[in-house]
Amino acid sequence: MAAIVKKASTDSLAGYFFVGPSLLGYLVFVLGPLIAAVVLSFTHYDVLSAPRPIGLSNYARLFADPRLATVYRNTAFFAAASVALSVSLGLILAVAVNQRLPVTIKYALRTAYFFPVLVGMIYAAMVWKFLFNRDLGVVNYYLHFFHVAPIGWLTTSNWALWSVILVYVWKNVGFTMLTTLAGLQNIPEELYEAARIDGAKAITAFFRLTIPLLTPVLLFNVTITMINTLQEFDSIVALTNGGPGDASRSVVMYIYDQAFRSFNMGYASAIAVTLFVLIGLLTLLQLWGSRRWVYYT
Amino acid sequence: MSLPPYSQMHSDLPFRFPYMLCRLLGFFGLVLLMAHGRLSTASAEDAPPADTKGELVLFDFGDANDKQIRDAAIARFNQRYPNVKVTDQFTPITSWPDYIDKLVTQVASGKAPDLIHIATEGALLTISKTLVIPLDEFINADTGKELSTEIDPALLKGFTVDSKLYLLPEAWNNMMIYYNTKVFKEAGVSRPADDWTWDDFLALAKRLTSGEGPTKRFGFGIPYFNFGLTPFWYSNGTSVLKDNLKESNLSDPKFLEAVKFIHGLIQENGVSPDPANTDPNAVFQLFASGKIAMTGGGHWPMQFFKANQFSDYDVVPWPKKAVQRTVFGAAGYGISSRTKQKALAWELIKELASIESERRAAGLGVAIPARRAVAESPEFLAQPEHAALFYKSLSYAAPVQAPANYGEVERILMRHLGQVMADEVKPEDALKAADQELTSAMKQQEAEAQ
Repeated sequence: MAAIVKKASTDSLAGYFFVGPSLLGYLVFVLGPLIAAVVLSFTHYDVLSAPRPIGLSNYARLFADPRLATVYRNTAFFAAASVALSVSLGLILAVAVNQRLPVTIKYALRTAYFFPVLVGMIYAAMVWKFLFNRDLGVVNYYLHFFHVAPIGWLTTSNWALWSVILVYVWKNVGFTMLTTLAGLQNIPEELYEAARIDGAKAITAFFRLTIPLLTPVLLFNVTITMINTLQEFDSIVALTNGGPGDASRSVVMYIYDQAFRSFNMGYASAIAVTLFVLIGLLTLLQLWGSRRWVYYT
Repeated sequence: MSLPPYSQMHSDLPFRFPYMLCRLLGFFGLVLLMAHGRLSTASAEDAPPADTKGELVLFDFGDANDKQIRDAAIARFNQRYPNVKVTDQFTPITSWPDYIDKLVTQVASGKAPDLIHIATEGALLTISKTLVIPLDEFINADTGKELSTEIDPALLKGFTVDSKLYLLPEAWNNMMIYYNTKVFKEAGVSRPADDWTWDDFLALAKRLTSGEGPTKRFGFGIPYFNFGLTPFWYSNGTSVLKDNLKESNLSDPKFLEAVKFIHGLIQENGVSPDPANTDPNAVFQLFASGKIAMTGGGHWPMQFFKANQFSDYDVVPWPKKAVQRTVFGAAGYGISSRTKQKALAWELIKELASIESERRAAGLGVAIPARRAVAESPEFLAQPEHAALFYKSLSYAAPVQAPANYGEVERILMRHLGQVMADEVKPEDALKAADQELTSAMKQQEAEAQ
């Protein structure tokens, strides 16, 4: 009996030992900053002077800040469009790559679609900025031959956010393609054979068989892409710096501006808390809603 | 201009709890700064002995050429002090606000440098936050005479608060009009007069604009950053802030007139390409490639031109509307109030801002030397033909307006101007909104300063 207890105790210790590093990292880099952000959100803190408690003033300011509504609207639009495009295009590319093609072409296509994921966003953004320049860019250069007037891709409110979305999707669609491809390859071939025997055409098999069986992967892609897009920062900074005006500024960029440019650390923390709550609620909503449309075999 | 007393600036220490959390998260060097700080006053100390051991950290900015100059200065310093390790925390600079933000964040995280290299744009912030100490006692005991005679008083004045000099200027920059001599020759256009006007400028820009679509050559590339746009305000007798640097001046009709003029260059007249580009040096690349015939810049673009072996250019003063005026900003070295090695730091500053460093900078085309003697040297005057106009511009230049919240002021202005240049908001409406926002920001800044 004593030996059993001793072994259990040793196993527990080993468990704590393995969990320890992750737990420590979580405490220092996630939980600690989270608690600090909540505490700082009740203060005025300009980084160089000591924090001064100001109660709920920062939260009251949230409701009086017209820029906050704009950046939240931009973020919501960016997230919705990016999720829809990344997931649907990822699905289309995965299906295309999963066709019976010569192995070399298949690998070449997969690599080509996935390659942007490996490229640093800042490098990619430099190239895209050059392509998108209104007067000297390559995109408008070719559009000129079709008598299209120069478009301010990155400098007009109508196009700036769409341009950032386009670059984000180009950069990240390879990831959703890869996960979807893995999901496609996990669907047993016998199911398709059975469908064919039952007289189902390809299009029917796709919507009645492929899509339902891919829903767990699609849920994963939607969740991950949504969380990432709600926190998008680098592509926007590099491409438009949030402009023109606030036309493409995201919430996270606004938090950064307030915290490290205007040094309103307290107000930035209050915004960060609202974003944290929002992402948490949306994720819970997705998981709850997924019971209605996700099929686990 | 008076600074709040130290005790008043840090009178809210009793709120301890979030402080501890901040420290946990790295925000918190502030406590250490204060503990160290007690911000001892500067005192003239004798030069430390040559066998002094120690370490100095320099918070520094620039590009590869600047790095060369600093490395050479540090090497000279190490010949005198071989046992002192100097770490140059070199930051490739994109904009002054970003550089200033980086400095503040680093100081707040408890890693204050021993020396700070900063420009006019960040000078008042570093002084008002007591990040640097006065240099007067060091200078008076050492090179005072040299400073009073060789450096233009305008440069010293920019770093002086309450009659105390906080930063030792080593270089400065202004804004001039660059023109492509080859393009001018091809177009049969002669050099503009030094006292030319906005109307002359626009007429010339129109004449130099040619072609359509992808092959279009533009007459003028707008230097689309705060410092670059400032000569348009100054030459129309206006500015972003009132002279006290505490109130917005964006409701001034002359400011609106200047904004409309710039807007017209892009939209109505089509002589300037879309200026919005987060890389402020992009315009100089286009200028060197001949895509634009004129642009605005200080002395710093010349290093790009040299690197690309481009020499078909010259400079002319900024055109005037109400007055002939351009902008200038200086860069200088200061001793951190947090350093324990003030005398050693001063010895390093003497090398960093030495005549050797300035001569090397003059040769590389980095900036305009602070010392008149170097600015009149053959190395500096070698190119372009009218290089002497750079130093002469100090006689009619005004310093860039740089309150302690400079970064915020610049961002408010540029954000609203972006909408104007994109032709989405009328200049009147944009300036009205910018004025309201800036007024609010300046009031908040004033309240915090008190």
